[in-house]
Amino acid sequence: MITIIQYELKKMLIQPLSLMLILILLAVNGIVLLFNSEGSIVSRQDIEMQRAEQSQYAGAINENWTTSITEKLKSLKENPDNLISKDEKIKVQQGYLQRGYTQEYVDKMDNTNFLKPEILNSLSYNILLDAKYSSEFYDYAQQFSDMQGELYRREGDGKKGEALASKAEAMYGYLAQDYIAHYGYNLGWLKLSFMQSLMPFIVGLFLIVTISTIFSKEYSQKTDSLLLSTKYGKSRLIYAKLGASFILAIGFWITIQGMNLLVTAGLFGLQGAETYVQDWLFNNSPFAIPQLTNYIAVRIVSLIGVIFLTSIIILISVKSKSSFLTTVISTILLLFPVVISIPNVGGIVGRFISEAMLFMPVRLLIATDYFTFFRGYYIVGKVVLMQWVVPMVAILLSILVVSIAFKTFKRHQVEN
Amino acid sequence: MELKINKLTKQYGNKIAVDRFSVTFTEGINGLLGANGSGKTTLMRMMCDILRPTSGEVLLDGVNITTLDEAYRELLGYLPQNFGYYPDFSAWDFMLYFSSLKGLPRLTAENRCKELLNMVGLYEVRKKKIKTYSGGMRQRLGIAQALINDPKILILDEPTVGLDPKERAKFRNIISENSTGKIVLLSTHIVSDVEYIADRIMIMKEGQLSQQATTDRICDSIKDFVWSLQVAPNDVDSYNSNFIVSNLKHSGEQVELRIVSEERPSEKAVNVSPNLEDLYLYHFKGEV
Ligand SMILES: Nc1ncnc2c1ncn2[C@@H]1O[C@H](COP(=O)(O)OP(=O)(O)O)[C@@H](O)[C@H]1O
Ligand SMILES: [Mg+2]
Repeated sequence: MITIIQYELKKMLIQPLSLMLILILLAVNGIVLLFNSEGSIVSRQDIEMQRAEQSQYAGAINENWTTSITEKLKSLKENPDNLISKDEKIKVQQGYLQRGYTQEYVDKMDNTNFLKPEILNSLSYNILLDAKYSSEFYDYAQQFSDMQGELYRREGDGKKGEALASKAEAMYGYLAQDYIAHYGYNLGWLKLSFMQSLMPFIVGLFLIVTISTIFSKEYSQKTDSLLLSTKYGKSRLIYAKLGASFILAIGFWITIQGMNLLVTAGLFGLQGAETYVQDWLFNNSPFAIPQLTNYIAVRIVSLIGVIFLTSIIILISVKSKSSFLTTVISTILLLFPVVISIPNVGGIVGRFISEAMLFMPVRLLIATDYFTFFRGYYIVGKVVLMQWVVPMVAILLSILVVSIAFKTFKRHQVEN
Repeated sequence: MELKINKLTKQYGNKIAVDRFSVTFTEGINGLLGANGSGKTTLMRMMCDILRPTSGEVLLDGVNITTLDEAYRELLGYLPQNFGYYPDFSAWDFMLYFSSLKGLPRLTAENRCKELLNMVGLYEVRKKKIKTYSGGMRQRLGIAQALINDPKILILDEPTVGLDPKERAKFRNIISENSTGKIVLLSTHIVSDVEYIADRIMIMKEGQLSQQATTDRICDSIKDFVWSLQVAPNDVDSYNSNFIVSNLKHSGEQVELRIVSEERPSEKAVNVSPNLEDLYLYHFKGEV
């Protein structure tokens, strides 16, 4: 069995295209790791400075912490050294008056408007602002609790709406009232989260190119007649093919995850495992879990995504007659949800599309956005979180799809 | 051991590729002779459990081969017509891969593969990629592959395609040497492939078994139908269009014709003893 698996892996990897693709994909992933969002190479020095600055304020976000941040910001703003000169201040005020602001507004203007440009752009000031924003964590959580509760009661009908509303309120309410969020330097974790968005183009593409061949190439190469007439051609061979596909898929996924983790750890460090994940803008996670737990949750879903994606590629491969066709179909079917943005059509159709999108293998592969919002299904009187339902459905579909693939090859007829 | 084909039929749309084919194979070499399109490949695929018959069955010692499943395929060696290969595999990899699919333990497999590759003359080049092989070398590799599990049932579909005359002779020896105690079935549309080595000959025509006999008796059916005749060169065309001319030889001013015909083609014609070539032409006159 192991020998057969080895040969199946060899068949997939021996194609010149596969090896070249591995190198290219590793290189692309590596380059993205080394660059920041502005497109320049990340500088260790900048990172160190940010780490030093943010680490001063690292800790649980509570009243004392909030007070101290507020004080610091206040004293910074009141320090005459940080402010522009009287003349410059008058100029700024006149500018506002000219743009139509009232005298009253201008008189009440806070010192923020009169900080020297070098202060405004300074790291320490911006980190303080960031910390100040973080001190509002619990308020935002409470707002989400209220908003989501109201939304589900308004949209949902009766029991269902009420159940979903209370679930959302309970989760965000917990964040607002009982959870203790931690502030701190966590660039490494943010980078790791960002790297997930690359998964379709690194892991996804690799799987589509290599695993597409697993069955279809036997047809197009006319080796099916040789294989199926051997003793194990209708049993162990198929297990070995499935095994090899999953080993390759999971192996490559682990390689990329490992590479991301190592490079990120080296470049940014992994401090901040205990910091909160919600930015209340793009990430409105209802889960009371910090970076590390969130990282693990995302990887579990992503791993399920890899398995799901692999299963579907295997099915396409076993059903189609040529591996080229398999590659094309797989690419369109599996990658298009991320490449093309679906127009936002409203109504039932839009609802259906957005619901279906949640079950796309490639979305699971990325996985990060599953943990950025509240979504629940009302199933027999209970609210089950989408974050449970989607991976479970994906696992069940994978099992179904793989067993269909197994039977299809077992019953394959050699006709040409 | 007895392999029984019972009213085996395969239909593709309106086309009946194999038509209620019944025959019983016992140990020995069986030659399946038939023109292209007569249904040989289709028949063999059904015998190898890779194509489901429309009706009928294949029984090994009374048990349907689909019931036997692995136990049947364990006994089987098959060389398909126009089989594929893995271009980037070496012959050695290819052989070891099929050894594991046929259930040979690693060490046995290596010895067996070495032996077989030596036998087909590929051992020296075993590390070279198959894509660098000539057609004849690939065909020899295919033959070696079919023999890996020392099959009790060996099915070879047009095994000599792509082989040069020397390779053909070598192939016949290999098959003769490896056939004891085995059921060997080899299909061909080339008479000389089976003439010397087959114990029995079957002639397949339009999906049906049209004749079968032991090799030394197979020609009996046309023993009065083969004629030799000396004619003038000018008359050759007329004979060619009216009769099956199986051979034509210039001898001095005259031309010597060998004719297969139920009626005496001419007063001067003399009866000669038939060979398999004559028989083939007799059966497939319209098709060649
Ligand atoms: N998959 C198929 N679909 C339709 N017709 C087929 C198929 N396979 C074989 N045939 C037809 O069945 C007949 C027998 O073919 P085959 O078994 O390949 O003959 P042979 O091997 O003797 O040349 C031919 O007429 C061929 O066209
Ligand atoms: Mg054929």
